[in-house]
Amino acid sequence: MSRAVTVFAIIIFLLFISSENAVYAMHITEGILPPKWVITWFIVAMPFVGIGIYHVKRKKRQMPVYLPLVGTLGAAVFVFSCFPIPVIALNGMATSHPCGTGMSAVLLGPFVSVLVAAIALLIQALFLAHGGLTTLGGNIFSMGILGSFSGYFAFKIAQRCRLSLFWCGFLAGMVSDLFTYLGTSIELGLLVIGKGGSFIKATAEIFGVFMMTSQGVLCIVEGIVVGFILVFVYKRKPGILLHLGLIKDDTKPVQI
Amino acid sequence: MRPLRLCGGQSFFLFVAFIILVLFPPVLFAEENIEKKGIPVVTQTNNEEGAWTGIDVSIVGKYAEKYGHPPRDPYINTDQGDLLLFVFTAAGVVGGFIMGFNVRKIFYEKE
Repeated sequence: MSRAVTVFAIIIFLLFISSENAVYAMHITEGILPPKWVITWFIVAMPFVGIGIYHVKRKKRQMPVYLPLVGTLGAAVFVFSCFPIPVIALNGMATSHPCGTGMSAVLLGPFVSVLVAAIALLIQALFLAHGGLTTLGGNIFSMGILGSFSGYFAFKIAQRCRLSLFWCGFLAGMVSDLFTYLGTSIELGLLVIGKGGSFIKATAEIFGVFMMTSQGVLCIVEGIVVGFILVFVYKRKPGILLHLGLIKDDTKPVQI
Repeated sequence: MRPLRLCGGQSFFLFVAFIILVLFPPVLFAEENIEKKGIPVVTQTNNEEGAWTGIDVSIVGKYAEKYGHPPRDPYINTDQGDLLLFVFTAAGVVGGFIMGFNVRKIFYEKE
């Protein structure tokens, strides 16, 4: 029965993504960033990717199930970040997509989450006309770095506040989504520097438009999804959360 | 096809249900039906604006153009005709299978 559920979930997912509409991306498209910012964001992003590779090599020795987990969450981040969700918000009807990096940061660690985001963004830039190769560094910064670390720290802070596992995951998903789009707003806001515009005003305006158009609703959806995923992992295999250091004792019930 | 063999006959019926669900709406909205009902046929382009526009066009592209850095076509431009639909579907299939196999391996296989 569980195998049938897995196959059915895949079928339903394929049904949802089989859209006749051209799929649009939240990532910064090819050609938008000038050369100096292309280089800057690559320089910022690459150390995090390198540390992520090191963490994968180290953790796979400590935890045999870690590599399949990286595979699962890498595929999930890839799929989530090119999965257009129609949203009706204050600015009317639009499509946007979640990020998935909050979930991957909680389960894999923030540096490994940056690595999986980088791989997902590279494949999307190469084959899906989604994002761009010159804007890869910038997209890794917003979705990978800001999204992962903000989600990870939101989860940790929520745990310190003794919230239930679902709400810890909810906050991780929601905050990572918000910070991802804040990162995109910052990168676009930086384009006005030297052209007489105000960086802070431009960033705030773009972020506000994101919130009113789609992310105000979508960040809540992503939070709910991440919360349920963490509860599923805890119910099915609490040992995974124990090995990852997310819970202290898998024999003691955790409030979900 | 391996998941089908692993899951037995139940998957066969799920696949049949999936095919029916996928084919039924396009049959309802086939071109002759649209013409009869007077529904305007819209050609899909990446520059389409209106309902359900992606935020990379309505927000990212708009502000990038406003600040003097308009987007351009990707180096490997798969956004041509139905090619983009194919690559997204293929990507979804591959991603879905990877997720399904690893979820089964992690959560359902006996250690």
